[in-house]
Parts: sequence; structure tokens; C-alpha cells
Amino acid sequence: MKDKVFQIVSRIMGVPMEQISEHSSPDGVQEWDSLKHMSLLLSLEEEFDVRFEDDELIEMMSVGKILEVLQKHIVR
Amino acid sequence: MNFPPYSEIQAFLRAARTEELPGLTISVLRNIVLEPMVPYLGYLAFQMGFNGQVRFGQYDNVYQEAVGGDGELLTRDLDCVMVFLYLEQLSPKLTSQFAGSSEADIRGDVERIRSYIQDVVQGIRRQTDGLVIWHGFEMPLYPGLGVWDGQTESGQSHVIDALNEFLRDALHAVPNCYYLDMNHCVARVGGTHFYDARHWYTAKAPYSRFAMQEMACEEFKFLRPLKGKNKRCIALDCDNTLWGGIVGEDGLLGIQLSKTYPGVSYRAFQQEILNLYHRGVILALCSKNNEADVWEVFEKHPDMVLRKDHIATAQINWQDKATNLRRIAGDLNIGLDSVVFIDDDEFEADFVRQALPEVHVMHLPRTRAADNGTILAACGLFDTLVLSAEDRERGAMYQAEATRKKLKEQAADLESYLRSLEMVLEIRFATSFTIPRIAQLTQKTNQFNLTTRRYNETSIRALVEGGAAEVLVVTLDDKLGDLGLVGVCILRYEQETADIDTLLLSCRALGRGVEDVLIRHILMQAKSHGCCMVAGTYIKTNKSAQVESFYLMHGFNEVSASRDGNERRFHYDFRCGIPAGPGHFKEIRSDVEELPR
Repeated sequence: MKDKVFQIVSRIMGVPMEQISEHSSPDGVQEWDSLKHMSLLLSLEEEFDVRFEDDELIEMMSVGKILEVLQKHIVR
Repeated sequence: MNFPPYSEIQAFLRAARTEELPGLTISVLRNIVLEPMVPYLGYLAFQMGFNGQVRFGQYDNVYQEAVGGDGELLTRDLDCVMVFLYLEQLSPKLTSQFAGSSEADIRGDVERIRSYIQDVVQGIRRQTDGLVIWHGFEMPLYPGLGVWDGQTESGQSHVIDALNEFLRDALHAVPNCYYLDMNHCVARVGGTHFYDARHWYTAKAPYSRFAMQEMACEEFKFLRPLKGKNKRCIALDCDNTLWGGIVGEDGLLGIQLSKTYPGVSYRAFQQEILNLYHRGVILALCSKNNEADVWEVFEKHPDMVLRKDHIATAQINWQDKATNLRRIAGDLNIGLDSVVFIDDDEFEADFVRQALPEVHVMHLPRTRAADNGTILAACGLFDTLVLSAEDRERGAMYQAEATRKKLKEQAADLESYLRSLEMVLEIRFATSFTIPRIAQLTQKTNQFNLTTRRYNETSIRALVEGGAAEVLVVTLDDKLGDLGLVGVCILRYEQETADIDTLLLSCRALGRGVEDVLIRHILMQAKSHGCCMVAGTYIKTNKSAQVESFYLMHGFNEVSASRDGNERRFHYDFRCGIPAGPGHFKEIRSDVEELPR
């Protein structure tokens, strides 16, 4: 799952995979603006076939947090 | 349309060298956030062979950009302007707060929005000639007054309907402006999947990814014909596509085709095909069968919807389908990129995809035959921006052409065949009725076209009204049907010389001696205009080789040529007299005066 999330983040932001880590967030990645963030959420929901809850949308502001939230959905 | 995952589309578009493709420039005026839609547009543009370049106006700045003007956003030669006005943003009183709005509130906002629409349409048109796709207002999923809403003219549904009607009229009054019915998009996706309230509240982005996919598909139904990329012909497999089963094995009455299930699925599919025929799509058969078996079904099966005379051409044999599709395109004189091939067989579909990548292949497996009619209706590949009388009659024209071919094969010699057609040819000066078709022919005709100069309606009208030129048109009719306006000549006068600026014939009129009559009438017209010289030009293109010797064969002398030999000039000397025309026409009517004997 981690690799897939990294790949999606890299593709949406247009940033090489090597530059993505669990710590990547809008603060560190210049390309990660609010519009890209929306595309990212849309894309994650599509590829993992999940629907994020209202609170989660606010939480998911780094790759690490995204992994955490997705983990919860997939375990469920 | 099934899109790949969103992130894959983005990776794909970054890797594809889209910048080498011709541009498809789109500017978006909107009062909501729509940026996530861009990859879907880029993907469909790429499939069409274009580099989609989408620019957004500022968020909620539509009026300022359209009316005030924005030279960056709305350039003259833009391909397309998309307008999105989300009604909730324009007027909460007509949307989320409708139940509490007074009649005066409603009237006031309707009036304000109407004049807003007028100003924006006109403002856009002042700045750019591009195609305008205006997304109409959406009906509420749950109308403001509940079930009562639909019973009263003061209900929300009626108010929004009336606004859309006004919008349609406003767009209709301005050239090249189109209404996109958002309610069709909502219906196809389903309202609960169309909107995503989370992104609306957090980012002013109301639409889900499903909505953006569907809207992109709908927008490209306008953009394909804009770029001449709409499909014009369906080539159909027969067994398990037009009917269930295999006619060669199951026999005429053993195939599935009836008014009851399961045969009714195939009837419904045929009905969709017939609907496209009535919209100007040419039908062809491309199947591996004994030919007689197939025609027996067409002629004798009581539940066939399609008839033999709907089929313009057929390749029914045991050869590979790529070869047969090439023949079909050749017979119809269209490019393979105008053809959609439909087959239930995966092998055949893949084979054609590999062999002829320019053909659009639809693989419709028989296991889902009940869905096939809808899939065809949904594909949007055949949409046109107008539906002319000529489009509606195209099927009959191709059928007549097939009969002509047969007559030609049967005739003892060409002369007697041409006589048997009983052709009536008319040469007339252009009028405002014929100007659109003249412009269309200058833009479409590649083969029999001496100079391949392209004109739009405005420039043709300027020539017709200007006085320094004359525009002649040729129409042709024969015993099998009217071929319509098939030829154009533009004569420019300069002192005592008549210069043939444009001389072209539609491919459907070739091989009948029409050009011999036309050149004779051009010469006569120049003479009666007082000219002592007629000049002609041949400009070589990679498609116009067949008319290279046209002027030499019609008594002109070559007087000069460009250094690369691609542009050659010819003169006609009136001292040689004017040649007699061919004798195989039943009648020739002309605005040009016959010469005194």
C-alpha cells in the first residue's frame, strides 16, 4: 500500500518518487497546493475504493497521515 | 467511456509528447473550482490527436472577464470557451433558500441572471470567435417545495426550466454558441454520485470525479466535430452483432432476432444504428459470411430493422477484416479515421486495432447484447454541431451512388452509361443560400481542387458582394437522386484578365464530364465580361495530383512555374475559340450566356 500511495502522490504532484517520504506534506512539497490536494484525495478514493470521512479530510495533510487513515479503512 | 485511474492519466499525459500535437485551446469561465477536471480533458484531447491546453479564468470572475475583457484568456483564435455558472453561487434565493424566497425575490433574481447571461454571451463573442459551450443550470435533486414544486409555476423546477430556456435562446441568437444540458449528465451519473458535498464545502468544488468524467465526455461531443474528428461511418459485423447466432449454421429462422427476449436486444441495437443513419452516418457491412446468407436475412427476416437500402457498401467474404475495412473506406471515399468498426468477436476487434490503429473499434460482446444499444447511443463519436437536410439524406445519396456503380458495370461503354444517368447540370451565380455550402466545399475538397484555397462564409460573401469577382456554383441531379451543390469556381477580374482563383468539384461528381462543361462556361463568362485573357493556377498538394494536367488538357498553355514547381500558371487564348461541351447531359441550365453562333 505504501508504494502505491507514494506513486499516487508522485503522479499527482508531478514530483519524482524518490522525493516522496512519509514526511512529505504541503509544507515540504512546493507543488502540493490546495487544488492538487483535492486531486490527491479524489485519486486515493478512486484507487483504494474508499470514502474518507469528514474529519479525515482535515487530518490527511501528510503522506504519513494518509497512510494512517488508509490503514484504518482497509482494516475495517 | 471508461477512463483509466486519475493518477495514471496524469502520469500518462506527462510522459506523452503532447506538445508535438496540434493545440486544442480551451478557456474556462467559472464561478466554482473545476481544476481537477483538466486531466480528463487532456486525455480526451490526446485520444483525438490534440494537445489540450486548458486555461482558467479567475475564480468567480466571469462577468469581469467576459464583459470587461481579458486579452490573455479570451483570445480571438481560441478553439473553445466553456462557461460554468453554478446556480447556487449566482443565487442562493433560487437554490438552497428557495423555500423561503418571496415571489419578488425570485422575480428579481431571475431578471438579474437574465441580463447577466446576455452581457456575458455578448462579451465573450466580442473577444473571441471560439466555440462557446455553456453548461446549463442543473435541476435540484430535491426541489424546494417538495412534491408540490412540480404542480406550480412558482415552483423551483419551473423557474430553473424557464431560465434554461432563456439561456438556450440567448445562445442560439449568437453564432457558434452552444448549450450543454447538464441535466443529461446528472441523470447518467445519478444525482447522489454527481455531487460531492465535502469538496463543495471545503473548496467550492461541487462535482465528483464521476461528474467531471461525464462532463468531459459531453464537452468532447462538441469538440470532435469542431475539429472534424467526428466519425462518419459504422462498419458492422453481422453474426452475433446484428442478430444472435450464426446465420450460416442456425439458418434464417434460427437466429435470435425478434420482438421478445433475447432477440429483442438485437432489434434495439439495430434501431440505434438506424437512428444514426438518419443523422447522416453511413452504414457498411464487414463480415465473414456467405454473402447470400446475409442478404437473405436483410430481405426476408420479418424482424430486421435495418434494410438492404440502408447499407451503403458491404464486404461480406472470408478475407481479413482489415483488408475489407480498407475497401469500405475506399468505396465510400472516406478516411479510415472516419470509421467505427463494431464486432462481438474479441479476436477480430484486436486484429483491427493492431492492423488499422486509425479505425475506432467497438468490441460489443454478445454476452451483454442487451446493453449494446445504449453503449452505441452513449459513445458520442458521431455527434455533429448541426444536422442539415443534407446530413439527413446522406444515406440515400450513398445508396444512389451504389446503384450508379452497378449501372456503370452493366453499361456497354462509358458514354452510354453517362447518357443513361439523364444528368441535369446547372451553373448558377452564388446566392446567400449557397454561400455556406460553397465555404464548406472550399474547406473540405482536397482531390479535385486546383488551388486548395480555403474560405469561410464571410470571405465568400465579401467576394460575392464585392464586384471584383464572380462565384459560380454547379449543381447536379440525375435519375437516381439529387447530388446537390458539387462544384465551385471563383473568378477574379483584373483589368481584362479573368483569373480562376478557385476551381473545385466534390468527389461525388467526378468522372462525369462536369468539369468539361464548367470550364466551357467559365470561358464564356469571362468573354462576355469583356476579358481577353483567362488565367488559371495549379497549386500542388499531396492530394491534388489528379488535376495536375487539367489546364493543359483543356487547351490552356503553361506560362510560368514557381522555382519548386509546386505552383504553375496557365493562360487561355480566346483565338482558339471555345471548345464545345460534352453531349451526354440530358440538360444544361446556366446563368452564363451562350455565345452567339
